[in-house]
Amino acid sequence: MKKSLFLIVFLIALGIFIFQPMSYSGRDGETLFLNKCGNCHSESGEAPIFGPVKYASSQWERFFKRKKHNRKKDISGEVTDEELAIIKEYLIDHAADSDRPIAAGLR
Amino acid sequence: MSRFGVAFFIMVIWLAQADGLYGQDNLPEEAASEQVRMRIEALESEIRDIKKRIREGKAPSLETAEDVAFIAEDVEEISERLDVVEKRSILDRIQFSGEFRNILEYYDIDNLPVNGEERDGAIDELWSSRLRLNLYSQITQDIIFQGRLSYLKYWGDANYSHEPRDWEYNAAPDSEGDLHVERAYIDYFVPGTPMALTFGRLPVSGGPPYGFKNNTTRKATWPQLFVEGEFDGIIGSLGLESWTGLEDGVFRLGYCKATQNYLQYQNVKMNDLRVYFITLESEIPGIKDSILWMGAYKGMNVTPLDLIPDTTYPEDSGHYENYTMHLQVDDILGSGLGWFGAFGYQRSHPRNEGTEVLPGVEIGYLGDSLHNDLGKRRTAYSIYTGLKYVLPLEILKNPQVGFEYNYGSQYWVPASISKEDLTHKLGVLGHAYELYYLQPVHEKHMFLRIGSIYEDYEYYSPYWIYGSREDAQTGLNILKSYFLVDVRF
Repeated sequence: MKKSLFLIVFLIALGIFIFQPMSYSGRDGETLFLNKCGNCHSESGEAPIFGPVKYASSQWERFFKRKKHNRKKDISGEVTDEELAIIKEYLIDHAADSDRPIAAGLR
Repeated sequence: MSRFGVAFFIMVIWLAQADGLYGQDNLPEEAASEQVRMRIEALESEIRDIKKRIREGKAPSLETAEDVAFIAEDVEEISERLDVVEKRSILDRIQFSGEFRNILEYYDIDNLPVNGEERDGAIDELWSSRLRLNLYSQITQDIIFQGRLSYLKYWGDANYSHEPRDWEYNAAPDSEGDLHVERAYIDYFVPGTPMALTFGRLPVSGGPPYGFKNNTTRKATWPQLFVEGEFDGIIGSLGLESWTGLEDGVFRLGYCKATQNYLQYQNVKMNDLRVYFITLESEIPGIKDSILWMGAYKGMNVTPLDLIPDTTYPEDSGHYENYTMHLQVDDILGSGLGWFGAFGYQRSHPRNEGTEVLPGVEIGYLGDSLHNDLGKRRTAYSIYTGLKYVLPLEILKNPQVGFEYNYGSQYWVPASISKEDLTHKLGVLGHAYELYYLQPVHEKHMFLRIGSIYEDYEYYSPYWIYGSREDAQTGLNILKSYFLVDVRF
């Protein structure tokens, strides 16, 4: 019984390991954020580092609605509208007022 | 002199006076006119100069300059107001958030063992409310406080009868409800290192897969199957992400005190129940929003049954070890399907002595003298698995359906007792099935859930860890149906 339980758990875990990486694509908001925004917003970049918790979700909404980034730099040549929408969704999902996981020693 | 002459003389004098009157101002007026003319010329010159500078792009227009003045004035006013807001923000050191839940439950109970008989019963329309106040304070960049005050109340004046095996009796209501501290701890992140120290009443309720059924994320350290309750202790965490590349990788060592004998000075002989544990968790490599969790813990000096006055009991009842594993993927292949699976294996090492409840009758840890199994070592296991599917119905705000199953073997000692289940689904020694439908009302702030839990007991042990389970077979089964509304703010 114990062996079969371990086997079931192992097989399910193995299946997830094998198939899940295939789902990776450019739709990953965090990856896009790090790759696109991180070009300038980095320690060696021209702009300060920031994360999604810089603003609450409604502030991010306003930021994108008013196209505030364009006041400092027009990034339309570097980030497509589709990519911008994905980054926006990521930032809002992880904003300062988002529902964050809690565990000991977890920021 | 003729009258004409007199008149002429008077007229001459008058005219002379009149001339004198007006003639005295003529010179200053001309000078003023000259001044005005010069001023106009100077202004014209200035305007020409300004226009020239404007053409050269060296100066703002007059209108813009006026606007700038207004803006400067506004900025000054806003700045004054912001100072007030900023000061208030600095002084508001604790952030509060809340959760409120209303639950309606129905129970249908078959074959409940009562005084040697098996009885059927039902509980119709059991209402309760739960309030949680979450506290958060970022004291400094590296010191964070988190807490939760919790209140659970069954409607009316009903007295809730705690079962001895109910580890969460603190969370369950007294006759008028009970507001208490469910968690209160400090996280200290050692600056410049991946280490953290956590101490206090630890986050031990709402671990994975709590988020599945509650439209949220994990809210505690341990998976729900293994530990769910209120524990005080110390945890040292070592972040592994920067060393190993494992996303959210954390290694933890910890120490908890489940009971303390503070009556030692009165010569009360009872050893403290200490729990030592080690855990390792991270995202499953290559899988976003997933959890791979492994842990082991050892409980030393299990507290003996001491509910009966004037009885003799051992200083402790033995010890136990748990080995645990939890896997979880929130969204497999972006399909909206989530899965979790948890497995726990337990070894109990009871002492061969128990509390003498009657002359010659001892009840101990997983054994008693009547069944002659005091001190007999036991092994047990438990599993908990489930699926959740987010329906692709945006018009209905993507409702969710889920199914869960858990099993506890004969000698499984649960340290996990779900707060929301009066009958403790995760403490069942047998099978439990749950099917639910979750309807978001507001994406972040409100949802409804309707579901049923069927608990099919193989063994029933109302005294939790105490007493023999050799004759604990039962036909007990409980069908629970519920409807709840959850609001977060």
